[in-house]
Amino acid sequence: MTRGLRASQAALYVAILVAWEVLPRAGVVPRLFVPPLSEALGTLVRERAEYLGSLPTTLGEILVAYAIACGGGILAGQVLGGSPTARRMLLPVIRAGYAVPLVVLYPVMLVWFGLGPESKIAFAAIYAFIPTMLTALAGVAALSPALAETARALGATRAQQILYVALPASLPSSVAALRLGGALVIVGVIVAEMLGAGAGLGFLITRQRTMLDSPGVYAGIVLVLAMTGLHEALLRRLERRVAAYRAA
Amino acid sequence: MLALDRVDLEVPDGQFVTVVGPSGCGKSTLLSLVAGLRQPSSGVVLCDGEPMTAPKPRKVGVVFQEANLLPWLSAVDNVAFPLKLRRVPRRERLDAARRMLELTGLAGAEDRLPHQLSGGMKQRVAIARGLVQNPAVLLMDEPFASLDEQTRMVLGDELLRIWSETRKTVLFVTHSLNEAVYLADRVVVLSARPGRVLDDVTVDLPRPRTFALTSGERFGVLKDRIWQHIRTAERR
Repeated sequence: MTRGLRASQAALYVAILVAWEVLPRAGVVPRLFVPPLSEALGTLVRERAEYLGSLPTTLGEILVAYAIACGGGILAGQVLGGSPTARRMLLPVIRAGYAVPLVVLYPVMLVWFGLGPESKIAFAAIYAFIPTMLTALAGVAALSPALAETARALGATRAQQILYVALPASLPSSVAALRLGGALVIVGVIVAEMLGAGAGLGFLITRQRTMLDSPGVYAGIVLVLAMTGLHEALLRRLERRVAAYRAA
Repeated sequence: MLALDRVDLEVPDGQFVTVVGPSGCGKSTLLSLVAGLRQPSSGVVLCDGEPMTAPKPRKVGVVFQEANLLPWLSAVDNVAFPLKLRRVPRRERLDAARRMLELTGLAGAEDRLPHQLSGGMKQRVAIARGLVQNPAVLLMDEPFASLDEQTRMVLGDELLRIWSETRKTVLFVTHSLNEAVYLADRVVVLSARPGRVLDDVTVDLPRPRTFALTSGERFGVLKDRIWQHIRTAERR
C-alpha cells in the first residue's frame, strides 16, 4: 500500500473519532443517543472494576464457543472437502440451514441450557459453525489435483499426501475460516448475553441501557470493539504468515 | 475407452527416447503407465524386469508439464521432498538437493519460493526433483510445453547436458517435432487414439547436438518422415 493511501486511511480513523467527540458536544447528535467519546472512555476508566469484572465470563464463553465452532467447522470443512460424494449430498442441506436466522433459536436454547454460560456457548458456536465450515470447505475443494498426483508420483503414501500436501495447502483457507468464525463467535456471545443472561459484557451493556446510562452503554461498546479489533489484527497477521501456502 | 492398443516398446539403458503423436493419442497415458500411476487394462509394464504396479520414484523419476512445486517450500526443499517422503535425514537430503540444483543450473536460488521463480526455473527445479533419487529412468511429460520458445531451447540443451552427465534412460513425450528429433536417439510415433506404434525412428545425428544441426538435411529428412505419419493420423 502506498504511503498516501495509508495516511488518508489514518486520517479517516481520526476523523471518525473526532466526530464521535465533537458532534454530541455541539448538540448535532443527542447525548442520550451517542455520548461524546471522552465520556464513554471516562465511564470505562471510572467503573473499570465492573467492566473488567464482566470480562472473564464473556471471554470464557467466547473461548469455548470458538473452539467448538472453529475446530468443528474447519474439521467438517476438511472432511467434506475431501469427499465429493458427501459434499454433493450434504452441501445443499447445510446451505439451507445457513438461511435460517439462528437468533430465533436463542429463546429455545435458554430453555435447554439455562441462563448461564452454556446457552451463550451453544448459540455462538452454532451461529458461527456453518460460515466457518463453508469457508474452510471452499479452500479444500479448490486444492489442485495435480499437486496430489505429483506427490503420488514422487512416492507419497495416502497419509503423506494429506499431511504434506492437502493440509498445508488448506492452511490459508483455514485461517480465513478462523478469522470469520472468530468474529461471528464474539458477536454471537455478546448478542446472547444481551438477550438473556445474568453476567458478562453483553448483559452489562443491556443493564446500562435500561437505566438510560448512555456513557455506560458506550463504555461497553468500546470494550467489544477492542475485542473484535484485537482478534482481527491477530488473524490478519496470521493470514500474512501463511500467504506463502497459497498456490504460486 | 481404449487409449493405447498393443503398444510394444523396449527401451535399452541410457537411451533417450521421445514419443510423439497426434493430440489425444495416449502419449500421456503411456507415460503414466510407465510411471506406475495407472494400471493397464491388459498387458504389463516392466522396469528392470519388475512390474510397475505402483509409483517407484527411486527407479523412475517423473517430470510433468507443469512444475507442480509445493508453493510453501523453497526450491531446495521441493527437490528434497521425495527424500523426505522416504525419511532420509534432513542434512543428507538437503545436500543431495543442493547438488541437483547445481546440476540443473540453479545454484544460488535454493532458498527461493516457487512464486519467486520464472517458469523455466520452476521446470529446472522439477527436473532436479525428478533426478534427486538418482533413478535409472526419467519420464518427462511435455516438460517444456508451457514455456516460451527460447526458454524451451535453452532447457533442451540443458537437458542433453544433464543427460550426458548422468546417462539416464529418458522417455520424453512432446508434440514438438523439432524437440523430438533434436533431443532423441530414437523417436516413437504413435497413431491417433487408440495409440499404436506407427513408426520407430532412429535418429542418427551426431552428438553433442548443436543448433546448426536443425537446419541440416538429415534433420529435415527425419522430421519430414515423422510429420508424414502425424499428418495422415490427424486427417483420419
